[in-house]
Amino acid sequence: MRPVNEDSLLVRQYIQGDERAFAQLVHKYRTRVFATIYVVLRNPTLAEDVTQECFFKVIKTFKTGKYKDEGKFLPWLLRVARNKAVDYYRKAKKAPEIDIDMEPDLFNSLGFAEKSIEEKQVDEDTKRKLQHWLNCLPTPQKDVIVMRHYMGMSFQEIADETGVSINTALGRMRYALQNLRKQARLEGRKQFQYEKIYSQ
Amino acid sequence: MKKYTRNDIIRYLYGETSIEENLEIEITLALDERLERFHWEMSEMVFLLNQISEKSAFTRTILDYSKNYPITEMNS
Repeated sequence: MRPVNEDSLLVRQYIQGDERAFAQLVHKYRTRVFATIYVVLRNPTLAEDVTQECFFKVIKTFKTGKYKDEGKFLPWLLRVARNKAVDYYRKAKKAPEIDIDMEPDLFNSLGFAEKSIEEKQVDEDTKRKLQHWLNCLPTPQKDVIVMRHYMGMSFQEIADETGVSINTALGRMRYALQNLRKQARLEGRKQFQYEKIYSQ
Repeated sequence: MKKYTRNDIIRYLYGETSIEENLEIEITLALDERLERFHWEMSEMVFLLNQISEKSAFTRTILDYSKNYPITEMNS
């Protein structure tokens, strides 16, 4: 008789209606799933969306009785993740890209900078722009942000993973943050000029 | 006291410095205006990045979807 591993047990409990068991699986594997998808898409915002879609598919598979438990939950989950990412990549290649820079600028980084950290309410537009700037960073800089902020890796782990020294990993993070700030300042200046023209 | 660099400030911002280093870095920041400004600017960006990468809403969406999805067939 095959021994029941922890994942198989959680899967069984979930299928029997225990939502907490599924929450444990999500917490345990969301970073692995995200990383698998990010490797294909290289875009953290899209990778998050596709990660959600991947888990939605997992839910449907479980709740419609289509999952065959062979004690290999993780390899199956990562296969679903990779297939979802590849599907998305293929579809995205066919669809036209929307240029976010064509929209009017609403973010004034200088005004934002005057507030204290506690006072800051980051609106959806600011988040969207930041995600866009993040996607425009050189890949090594973007990767270090994704590994740190989305995957919770330490700088030593990032250095080991990317085969560089910890100082290089830190330097990439520094340049990434400086480049993002530069974008925010440019945006602030554009907004100032825009307001000046339309107030005349 | 060690001379702290911008990379050290990045480590400090991400909570990867020791208690002793924290104390020394805080003294350095109080004395070095340029480094203090760098720290302030970078902390703002780290704050924003934390906002866009926060996982709670992301996970909640998945778990809510699961709660609302009916079981249509039991596995054997």
